[in-house]
Amino acid sequence: MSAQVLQTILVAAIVSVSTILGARHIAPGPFRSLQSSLARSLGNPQRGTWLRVLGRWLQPREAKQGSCGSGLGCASCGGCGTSEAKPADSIPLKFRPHSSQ
Amino acid sequence: MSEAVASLRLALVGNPNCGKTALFNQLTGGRQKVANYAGVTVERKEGRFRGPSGRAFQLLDLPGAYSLEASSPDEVITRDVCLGHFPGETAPDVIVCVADATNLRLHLRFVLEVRRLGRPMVLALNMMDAARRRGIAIDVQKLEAALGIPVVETIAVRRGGARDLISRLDAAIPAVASVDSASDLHDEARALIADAVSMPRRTARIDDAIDRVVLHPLLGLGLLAVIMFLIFQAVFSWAQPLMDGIEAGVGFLGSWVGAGLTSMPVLQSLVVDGIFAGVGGVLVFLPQILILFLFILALEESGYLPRAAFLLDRLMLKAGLTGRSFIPLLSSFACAIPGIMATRSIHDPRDRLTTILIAPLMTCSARLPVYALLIAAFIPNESVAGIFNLQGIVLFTLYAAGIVSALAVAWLVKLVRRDKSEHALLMELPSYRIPHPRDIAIGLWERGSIFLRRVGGIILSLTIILWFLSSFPGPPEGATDPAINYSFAGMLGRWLHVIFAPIGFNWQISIALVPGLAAREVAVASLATVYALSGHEEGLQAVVASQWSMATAFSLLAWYVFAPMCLSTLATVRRETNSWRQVWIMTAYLFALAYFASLLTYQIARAMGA
Repeated sequence: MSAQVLQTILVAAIVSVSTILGARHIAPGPFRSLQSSLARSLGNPQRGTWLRVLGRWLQPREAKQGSCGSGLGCASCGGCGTSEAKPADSIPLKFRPHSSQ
Repeated sequence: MSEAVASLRLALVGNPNCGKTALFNQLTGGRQKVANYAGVTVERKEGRFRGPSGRAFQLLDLPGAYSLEASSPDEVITRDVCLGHFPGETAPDVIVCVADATNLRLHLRFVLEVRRLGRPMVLALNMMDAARRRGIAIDVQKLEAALGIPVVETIAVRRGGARDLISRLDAAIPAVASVDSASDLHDEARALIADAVSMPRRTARIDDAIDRVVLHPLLGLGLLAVIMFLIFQAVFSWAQPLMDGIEAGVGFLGSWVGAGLTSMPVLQSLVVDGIFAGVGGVLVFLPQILILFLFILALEESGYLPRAAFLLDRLMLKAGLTGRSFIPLLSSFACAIPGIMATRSIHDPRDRLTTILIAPLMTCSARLPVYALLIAAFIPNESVAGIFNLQGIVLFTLYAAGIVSALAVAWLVKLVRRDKSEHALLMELPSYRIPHPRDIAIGLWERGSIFLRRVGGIILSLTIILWFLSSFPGPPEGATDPAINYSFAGMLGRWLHVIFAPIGFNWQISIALVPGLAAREVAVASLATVYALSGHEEGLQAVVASQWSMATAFSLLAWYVFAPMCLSTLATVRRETNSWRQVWIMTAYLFALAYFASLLTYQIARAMGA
């Protein structure tokens, strides 16, 4: 294999992996949906063995979410460090008219 | 017996700042954040451990609560878990009620309230070492007999300090006998203390002596200003040798790796101009971040921070905030996300919303690399009045600008909101504590790891993507300009430049702002990559100093004081407010503020010849 071909393969692989990781960080929700759809499609029984194995591998695992629930993975913000914690339920703001308080 | 049958679900409950999370860490080996003030934990956390008999325990750490009649969102979680109303979760098998042994007058009331639930429970008398030092004697047997529940002594911050508690939990815990629920809890607590506790003084003598200075309306504020000022001085004065070392190391490694890739020029460019220039450009700021957090962690551990909240309460009230906003805003100096989550301890929803809206104006640690780069490039490293470092003064000013802007925005929100009622600050002031070096070291390790994970994760990924966008497509034949001018990034930068030209940003800055939305430090890495690909071989600081005007640098600093928050912050705001409207309001006002401040700064600086 010539140096040029090896270089092209390496650069393509590094850039592709970076794009996937970057997309997963920036848009975790859509990324998981896409990953799920792809895994389902590849896991179809009519597909070949290797494709089904790939589909199973791609199936999103139970996310280790940050406590903010952003789905970005533990401590992506660097703030909470709740590595093993389940995602917190949201505590939405609820306003009541002042007179009824 | 199967593990599922033997496993017990425990819940740690108690008043805020009694050491629940420290006990949680001690029992489970976890590293959840602990600090010496109320309101650090605002959500449930879960861990596991095994007792000496091999029995498995599932432990829940719950937010502190003064009563089961919850008045804030974090107390609601505790109440719901204890009552078995928390969605998707059954009530705990055993409640471990933690009480601060130095402050039983307050904490026993909650113990008695929890006892009325009638669930099996254990009382952990925590901070027994501090209680003994203060001469407080607790007759544990008498307390146990009076309460009708097992009572154990614990020292959550000492290795092995929870051994008795584990042994007790490993044995069967009986259900609480029915209790008279008609009597007044305060009366009951007072009677128990009279019977089983003797204390020479209600508060520690040393705390009172320190508080006379620290809480003084004038001296206290002066001391707070001096402490903050010294922190920012230290960030610049102490970090430089370490930063130089990292820069030299990264530079050497980059040259060495690059030299081995001469036969593959594109890969060499990716490694040298992309990875080493970009990631190395951010990595050098690790010492400054660690020094900043060294001080923040020490202050958190010491018990000084709630005093600072008390001192600033009047000022915050005038700005339309409450003293309760202080801790969430302080947390935002690390990152806006935990700060926004910490607003759950604010009872009033309007105060909470205002605090959420201004949290991103606090200077998070991700902005430090941008500030440090520009200050080092444009502000001379000289002393003022013989003792102060000019760069440190500028950094302090930038942090102060963020705080002042936050107060100004809060004041404006106060003007437009209909409910103008003010809420008095009721806050527990903890005892002072000498920060434990081990806790500080663990805290610094955590912060360092988080920063390095970001460098090796999102920053590396985006730097590589930017390298690709800055390198392709290649220049046409006969092109004379640098190749990056013909690339995707070059084209995008020129389009963006139209918007940012009035505030003095060149196309390189414009392009760096885009990945900076994912994480602010990426802006520095992006600038390093873009300039490296433009043929500048000197370090980023030198390039910036030679290529930008002073007005542009000041304008970018002003931009980053208000810089639009990262996408993770927006996700958290959406989650915490359950409203896209608030997300759009926050995004729009921060963009507008940033643009306007930069425009003003740039035009004034240019008019002054900068």
